[in-house]
Amino acid sequence: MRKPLLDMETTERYLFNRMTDQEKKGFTVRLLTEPGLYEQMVLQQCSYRLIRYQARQEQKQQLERIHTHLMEDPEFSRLLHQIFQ
Amino acid sequence: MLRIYRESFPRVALVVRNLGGGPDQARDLFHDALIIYFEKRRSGSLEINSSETAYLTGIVRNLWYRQFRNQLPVSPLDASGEEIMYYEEDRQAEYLVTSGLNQFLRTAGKKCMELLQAFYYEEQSMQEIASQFHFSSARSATVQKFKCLEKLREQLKTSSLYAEAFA
Repeated sequence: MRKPLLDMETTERYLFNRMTDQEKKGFTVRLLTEPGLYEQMVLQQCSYRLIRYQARQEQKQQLERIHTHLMEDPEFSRLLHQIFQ
Repeated sequence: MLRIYRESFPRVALVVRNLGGGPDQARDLFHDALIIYFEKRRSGSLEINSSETAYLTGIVRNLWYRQFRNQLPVSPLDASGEEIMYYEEDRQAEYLVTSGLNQFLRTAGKKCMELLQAFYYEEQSMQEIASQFHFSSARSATVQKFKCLEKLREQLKTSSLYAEAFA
């Protein structure tokens, strides 16, 4: 793997708390001294959030489809109408 | 998922109605609660001492108070850490998306995002991912995963959020 990818792998282990104390100390020093590394770490953290957000949006679409499907069932639909009457 | 939906949604709807909400709010809150429930179940952090329905109803109550906290003089029930995190994370990510990140989905492609989601969201092993996405080994899948993550990170650099934070 080329160096930027190896750095990503290391950053990932840091962000997911999968480093030994010794490794963590070493990486913290790198974050403070290596130009651009901290910035890359922040961007990587944002990337994880974005992946999760995207996955949740897709799950919501799936749930919407289930909702629509169930509302086609007269019994289920009637029950809900009664609740909100 | 269909079974849980059919069994639990009417009960949740009743609770939301009693809190003063309508059918759309009940549906949206229930969807958020189900996502939290599935995420917890997948990560192994789910501890249920009651029925699934009672558990989901509890999450919905917390989400309700969380959502309307600013409109209430006193919050009757505090939301748990995960539920606060759920909205905070989504709010931040939503901002990233509106900052031009949809471009990533168009340029890096659907397969890249599916691979990233399989690992980071669905928590599949690299071995499973290699087999599902037809890579020769878990190692090649790992390399591809980091290449996709790199593309996403590069795309993030072009967002207005990046400019604001690192200008």
